[in-house]
Amino acid sequence: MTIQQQIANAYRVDDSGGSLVRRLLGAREFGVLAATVVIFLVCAVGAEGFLAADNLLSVAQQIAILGIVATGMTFLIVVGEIDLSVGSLHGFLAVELAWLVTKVGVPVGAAAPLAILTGVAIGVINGLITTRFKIPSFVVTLAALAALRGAALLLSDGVPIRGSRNEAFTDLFAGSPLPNLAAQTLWMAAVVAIGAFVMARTKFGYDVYSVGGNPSAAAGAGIASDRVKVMCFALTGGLAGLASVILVGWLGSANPLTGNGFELGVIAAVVVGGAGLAGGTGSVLGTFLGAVITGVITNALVLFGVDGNWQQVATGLLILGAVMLNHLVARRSAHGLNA
Amino acid sequence: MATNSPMSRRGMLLTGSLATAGVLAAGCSSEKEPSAAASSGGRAADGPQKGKKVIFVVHDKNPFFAPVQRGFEDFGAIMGWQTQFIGPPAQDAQKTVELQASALSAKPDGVIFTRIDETSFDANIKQATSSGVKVILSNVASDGYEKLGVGFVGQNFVNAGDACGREIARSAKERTGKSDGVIVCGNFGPGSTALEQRIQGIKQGVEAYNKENGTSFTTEVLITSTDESKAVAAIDAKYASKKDKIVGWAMAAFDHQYVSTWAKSKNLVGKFAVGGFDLIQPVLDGIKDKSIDFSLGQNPYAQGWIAAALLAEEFDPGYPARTYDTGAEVVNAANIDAVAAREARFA
Repeated sequence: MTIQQQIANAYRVDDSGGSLVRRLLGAREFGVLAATVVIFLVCAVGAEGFLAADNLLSVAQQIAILGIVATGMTFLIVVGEIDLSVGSLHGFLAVELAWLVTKVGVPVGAAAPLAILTGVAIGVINGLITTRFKIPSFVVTLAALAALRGAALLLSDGVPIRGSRNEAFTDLFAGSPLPNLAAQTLWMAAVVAIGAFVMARTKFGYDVYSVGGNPSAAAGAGIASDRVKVMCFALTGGLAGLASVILVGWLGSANPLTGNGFELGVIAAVVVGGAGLAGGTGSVLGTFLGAVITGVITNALVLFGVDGNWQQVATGLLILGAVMLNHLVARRSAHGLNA
Repeated sequence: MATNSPMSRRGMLLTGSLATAGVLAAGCSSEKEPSAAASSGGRAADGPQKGKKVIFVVHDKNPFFAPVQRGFEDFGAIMGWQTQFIGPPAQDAQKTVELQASALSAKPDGVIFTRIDETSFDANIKQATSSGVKVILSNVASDGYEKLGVGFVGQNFVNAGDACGREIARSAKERTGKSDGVIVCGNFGPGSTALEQRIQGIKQGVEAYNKENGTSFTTEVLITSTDESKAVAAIDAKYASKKDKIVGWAMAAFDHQYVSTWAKSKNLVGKFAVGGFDLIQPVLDGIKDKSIDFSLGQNPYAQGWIAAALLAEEFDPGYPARTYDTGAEVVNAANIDAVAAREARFA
């Protein structure tokens, strides 16, 4: 049995055949899928206009940035680390992009990749400090959260900066290739699809599960844990950069307060999606469904006519309910499979 | 030794218990404040425009917006509207854009939005107007809103800042007797167009006062926070670095309540002038106890009520949207009692 097969068995990465029902029940996303279906049905029945195509596409557009950043965060949480700075990083990179374009004069075609590369570089720095100095990523990225927010305010002088007016840039990242279908939705779909494939079907994905689930076994199998972790930090930074580029294309400006508290929404989507903060469990598809749940709840509460303050309470309770339903269904399906 | 005897210990325990019970009994009297007048809470009632659905989306549900919401809901109740007032718990342009999109999906007849920068919200505003949904901006409109063909109800922030700058310079001279020194301009929301414009206005107002009165006050910006402990820490550090050079604190929003808290705790009330914006309860309390010299109101109730009224006019008979300046009312020791009685309705 190869090391990959051993890890696949250990973490139930089920790529084999078997009956559809058995495969569905065995999927790690089954719990969150059930929670999503329940919430979706409640909204469909109770919220007028929820099922309208333009509303559903609007929800998809609203969760695009969350879904993209949460995909990177899934890798990081599964590998046993966390990045609390993604909100500040998202804001800083948006400001950096707008600043490069409108204050320095860098063409947006060069500034956008530069913003993404800056995200990768900051991710690598966070990763190296975490792994080389053995400082918990919670602490390292908490420091980065403050530093990057300050950097965004410094760079922008505390005021929003206008973004690029280049039409090709706007069309590419925030246009509408079809009526009501926003480009950012397609970007999210691409990132989720590639992320899900990498995590479930490549050696890097197996390494991520292995390092997060059982670091000593991973080391014994010859996996360079630190390298895998740094790559996950870099991926998260790069995807935060992509999200920032999309945001500037969409809103046309960058506010230095962008992403304030965003990290909590990202982590919530990953956890609602079935990932454990201890590492070793979770999936990109689960995270995507977690993002869908948070987006649907936000949208449906407005359609239900719920007042603003109650929305915060309801959002928290519904997310908690979704996580509990997810765990309950996942435990029952695992129990059923093992019986 | 007497102190070690069991009797004495029991006596001490008894005395302590009685004292504690006395303190607790003294604390048992009700401190319940009189209830504010009830709002409709968004419920539809009978009215000339019964059945209309109107949604108000703000960028930040901070305490300032309580009277805005009340004004909006009061007017909505008169009209028989179904009203909804929503916004993110902290300032967040992206989240606000998303909530606006969801609000438009609810197929309202009209919406009231805040527009805290010059581009982010325009797609939603254009989508609303092109699909026949009436739009009014309230509280913050940012430059260039006129081109969207919508009205605005709110304060002109630079002018209001200018008024604040002149008032803080006048109060600083009166309080300290000095004709020079530093006026600290507090900003708890860097990045907010409204606050940045007020700071710009405050600096402008102080300079104008200097020219007109032969003084030479200078201004320095301090980043504070909406979190009281963080704000007080920043204020304390600033004072430690400048001490008696500081002659005034002019805050761009309601963070002069934190200067008041800090000054009272340090026994520094009266050593400098304190001013700022908005009329929330702690600010009014500060003016009453003289730890705050003045605050500039922007009539938040009107930002809800008038915005809704303009929308109603657009529904029927169909008058086009217009802009309404809610001004910069100076509230100080001279008029605090009347203003406090008025604002108690929204407490």
